[in-house]
Amino acid sequence: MLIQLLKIELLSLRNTVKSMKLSNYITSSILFTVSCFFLLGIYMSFYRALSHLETLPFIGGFITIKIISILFLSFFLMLIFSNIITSLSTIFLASDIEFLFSLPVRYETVFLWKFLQTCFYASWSIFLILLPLIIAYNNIKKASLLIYPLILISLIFFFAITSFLGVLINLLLLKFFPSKKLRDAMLVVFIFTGVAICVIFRFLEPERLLYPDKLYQIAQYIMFLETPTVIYLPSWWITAIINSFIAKNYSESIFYFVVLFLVTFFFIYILWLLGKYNFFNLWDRIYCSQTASKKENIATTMQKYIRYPSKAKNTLFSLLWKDIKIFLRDTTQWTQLLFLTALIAVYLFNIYKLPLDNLYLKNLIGYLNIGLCGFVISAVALRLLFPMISLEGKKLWFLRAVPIKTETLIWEKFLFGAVPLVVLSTIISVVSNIFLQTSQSIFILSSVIIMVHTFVIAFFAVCMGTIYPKFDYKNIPAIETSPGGILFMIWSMFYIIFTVALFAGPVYASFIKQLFKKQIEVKNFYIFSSLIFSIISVIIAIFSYKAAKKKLINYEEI
Amino acid sequence: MYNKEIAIQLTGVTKKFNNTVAVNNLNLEVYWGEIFVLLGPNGSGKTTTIKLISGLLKPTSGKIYLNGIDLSLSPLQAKQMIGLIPDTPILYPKLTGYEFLKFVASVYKIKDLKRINVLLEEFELLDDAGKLIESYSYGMKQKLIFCAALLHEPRILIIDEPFMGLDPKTIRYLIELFSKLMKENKTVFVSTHILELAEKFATRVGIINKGVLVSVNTIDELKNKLIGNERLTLLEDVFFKLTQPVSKN
Repeated sequence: MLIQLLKIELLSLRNTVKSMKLSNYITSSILFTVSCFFLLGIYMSFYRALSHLETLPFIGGFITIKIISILFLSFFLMLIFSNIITSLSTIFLASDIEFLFSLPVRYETVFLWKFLQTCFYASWSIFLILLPLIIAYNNIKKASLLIYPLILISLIFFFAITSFLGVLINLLLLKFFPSKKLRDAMLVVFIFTGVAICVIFRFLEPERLLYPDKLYQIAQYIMFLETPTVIYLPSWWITAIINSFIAKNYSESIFYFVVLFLVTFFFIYILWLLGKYNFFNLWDRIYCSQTASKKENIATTMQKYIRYPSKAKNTLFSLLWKDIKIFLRDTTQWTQLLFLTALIAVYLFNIYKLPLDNLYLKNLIGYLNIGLCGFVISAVALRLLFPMISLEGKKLWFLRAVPIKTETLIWEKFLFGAVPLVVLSTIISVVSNIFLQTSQSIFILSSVIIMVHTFVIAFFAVCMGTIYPKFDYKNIPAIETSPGGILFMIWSMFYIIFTVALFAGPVYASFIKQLFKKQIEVKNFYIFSSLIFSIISVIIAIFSYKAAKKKLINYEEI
Repeated sequence: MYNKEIAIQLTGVTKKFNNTVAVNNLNLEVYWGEIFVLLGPNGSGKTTTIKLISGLLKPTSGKIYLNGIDLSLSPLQAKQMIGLIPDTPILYPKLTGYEFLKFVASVYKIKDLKRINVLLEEFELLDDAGKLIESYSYGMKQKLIFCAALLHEPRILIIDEPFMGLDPKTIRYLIELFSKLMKENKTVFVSTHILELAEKFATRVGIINKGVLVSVNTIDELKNKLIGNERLTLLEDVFFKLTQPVSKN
């Protein structure tokens, strides 16, 4: 039966490829090429870092093993976290569960099938990232090719264990909190914890391992290196399998492989039992809690305080209020703000830690920060603003049927999404300039450009999301990675790079003027660049707005 | 008139969603060769009853038997007997209609796949069988679900709102199909709120209101039902009378 269920997935994949149009092929090719370059980048960086470590006498080997074990440990935690989130939609809230339960298929078979789906969806991206890391490590160590099948099988067990733990946590969570709202609240807590782990991990500065000379307590450092990273976790077992095999200590490698294998099969057996005796009861409870009358909770209490003003006559205002209410009631959307907070913290921490010791470098980085900041803004706009129209989905027919000007919807989405984006960009631009101690002129220039970028990119994201909607989405990432999403990112990058290049001339002239006390006229240079920048920004906004408006009026298939 | 052998039996079935009682102490016997229609206003517990009978939900209390088989004890054996058509067709969008039916055939271990084409032809889906389900209209999806439910020639057909999104031709075909199944001594359990259609094919009608089964009668019995001091002759009037909100005074 599992094979028949697997066939559905394979047939769906085949049909997706078969039904692809030329534009899909082009987009997929671009995406594939970009991904290959990204993975190549990971390989090269890791290879370089490990090669450097291998040259260090005595401690080089220890550091490498430590880094590998820390990597597997962090992937282990990330995978559990990813499985918790994935299993919620693939197992417990999946749309086909009802259909599968109506068939004469055993509950444990459905559960195992859903477990496999979860494992795949939660692990494939980590597998892709691990691939260049492992290849780089094996190339440095000149390991035999036989290690690859061993690693592959070990990784499958490793992924299965993390999926089991993720599913188990979710099962317990749902057993004690079957109510949807409570579950949402718990999910927010879990995501918050996950984000906190990421931030803490970043603040631990693992890159310091690459510079042992900067750690003054050498003895402590070596002791730290010699201790295995949490020996009872599968992350250490897989590290041991690889390292023992490379060191030709085959018995130890086999020992840890057998441990990994036995634990995996023990967990699969537990999973089978859970599927047989627990799954249907739990699903029934979830269904009941969703159908039951809604009780008051944090979300409904919060939204009570934001009431619709009785005097509001503006339709734009009404639409805005609708979205704010939905946002406050849908606790899953709050997680976006948590991710945003984590993003700001990590970004600013990286800026703070930059080893810059002269004003020229500080100003240079301050100026280049416009580009970096623009990239962050584009990525966030792709996550928050681009999907807005697609998320309206089937409900859009209603908004088109009521007497509201079509363009009002575009403006409303822009206003709703631009606020968090402006807060984000203001914090990033102001705080990073303070951390960098840039000159007053760079401070003002970069802040103004970043602010204009924010508004233009936010508006452009809404318009592109309207021009290229994806109403038949399964999840938000599916909207982001649609051809429209990729096109938005490419155009945004062009716009940002163009701006950075445009102001490079006047900024460079200012530096020369300040540094060598030369008489150079920079004012006109700035005016000219600002004028071009303004024209380009306005053109992007007007053209995308017109195209979006036209598209919104002409939507036929929603 | 009926074969008195019981096809579906519900004894004291109650389903609670936390503190909300969706179905309250339901006692019902549906016989072989019967087209039983469950009527009720929106939110009266029709879909919950359907989900309980098809094993998609577990009763909070009470027992459900299909052909004497306890659904809670032998769900697989019981499900082998039924074909379910839910109110909203949720299908795999990236499969073609034919592939989906092939999958269902494999689940029921049907070796002869000719029946797939027969059903596709009967429901006028043969020309679209090679297209992806995502390109189907609501009505086509509903027809496909009918094909899937009828593929293993179930002895009990359970349908939630059978005529939603279907064209008049298919509705007529379904009514004929129900009669054919009845003649084959099979049972059709239908939930709907369209009174006119129920009147056309139901052998017995159960009226459910706020989770309570308030009446089980044949159409003729219902039409001559004495409610209070009134004798009502229209099914519509009986329905409104039986499902009207109870005054708190």
